[in-house]
Amino acid sequence: MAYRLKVSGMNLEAYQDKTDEELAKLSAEDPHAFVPLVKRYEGKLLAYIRRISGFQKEDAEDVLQEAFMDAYRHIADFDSALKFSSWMYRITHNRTISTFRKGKSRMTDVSIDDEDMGFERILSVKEEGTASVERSLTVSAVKQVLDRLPERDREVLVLAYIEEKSYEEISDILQAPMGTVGTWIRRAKVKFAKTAKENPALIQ
Amino acid sequence: MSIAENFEDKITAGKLSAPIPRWEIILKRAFIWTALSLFVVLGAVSAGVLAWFLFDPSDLAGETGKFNLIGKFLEDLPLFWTIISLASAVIAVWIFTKSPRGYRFRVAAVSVACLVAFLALGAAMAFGGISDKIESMASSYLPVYRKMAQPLVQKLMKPQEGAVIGKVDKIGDSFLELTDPSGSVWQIKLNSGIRLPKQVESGACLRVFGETSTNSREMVAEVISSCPRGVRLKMSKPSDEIRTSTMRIINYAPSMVWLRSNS
Repeated sequence: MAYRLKVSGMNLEAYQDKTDEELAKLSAEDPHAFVPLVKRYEGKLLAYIRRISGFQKEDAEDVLQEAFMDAYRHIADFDSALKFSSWMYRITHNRTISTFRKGKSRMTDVSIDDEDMGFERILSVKEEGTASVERSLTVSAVKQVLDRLPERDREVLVLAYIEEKSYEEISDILQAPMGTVGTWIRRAKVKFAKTAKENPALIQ
Repeated sequence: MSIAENFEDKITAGKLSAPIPRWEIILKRAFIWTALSLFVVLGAVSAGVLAWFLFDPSDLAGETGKFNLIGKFLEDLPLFWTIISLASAVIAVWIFTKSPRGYRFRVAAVSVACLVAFLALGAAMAFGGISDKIESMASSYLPVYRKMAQPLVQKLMKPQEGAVIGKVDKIGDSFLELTDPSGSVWQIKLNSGIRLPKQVESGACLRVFGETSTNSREMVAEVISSCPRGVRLKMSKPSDEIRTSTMRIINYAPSMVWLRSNS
């Protein structure tokens, strides 16, 4: 069912000081309140889509545009007990995975801009038996190893170490219990180290 | 053009569809929670009836042989309630995990919590006498359920093996008059020293073991117990199936007794 929107003129500056959650609440009444949210999350989410899917920039932008439309359409469903960022990441994540599985977009490898320093955080991860491998990897090698990991492992590593989300936030984004998230992360780190070891060409 | 600018353009051009209204979301959530509550209640009620079957005093007293808990579980009627209870648990857990914040809990933990809740609520209902009423309603209004109860009645009504069930019509000092599921009246002779179940009154369902007469509906009682739970005899309208099978048994019984006494 499509509802046509009545738009009233609104001063966007009035929304600049509002928190994400306040803006989400206001968006149900005034679509202009959603614009600052789009501005705040556009860059982060675009990078996130590319990190987990390897989509090219144009495809990632299409996915993100659809994700924002989904979010706006379901804004009344936003649970105020959650952080808006977790909710928005969840919608973006689901939209990305859905597009990824449909094979709509052309894939490149996971790597994105060279200045993306988030990958370096994965190198600093200390996990028993994996630290020596990780220390010997370069940022570009991390990108290649991530690209070889299964979808779930790549997602949790990106969320935990690149997006720097807490277990609780990852739990809300991936809609899984926190304990399960912890298990996924531990398993993903072990797989990361194993994949790196099995591909000596990646280790300098 | 950035996505934010694109979004603003859509607002200005009036090309943006309005969000799903709040009432629609509330309605959807109310539906989810109502469905969840219904399955929890159904599961608890079923668990209650199951507990009521398992704690049948006539079985537990051991009047009619050894009590076998697993065997009791696998009988048609308790199994019916077990299946309803487990199916309700599975659906309730599934709905809960799909609810807005249900993903925060492990499915195993939710399942255990659900079963514990069913057992606690069910036990409370069984001991509060609600389960008896629910089972009676199922017997009255569910033809499938009533049909499932028939093999149990047939199993208990075996005059050739010295087992009769029926409703008490009259109680005397040394006799009982029972009407069996086919509507036939049995004269039960009570020897001195025989133990009767507590509160035997007219209309109560009894199970009598003893020696049947070869040529009439008479019996000398050796053991008398209450009917097992789930046996609800409706004498006014005995089903054709019960009537036919019981009459066949009764007509066959004298020759069986004769054969036994001559072997």
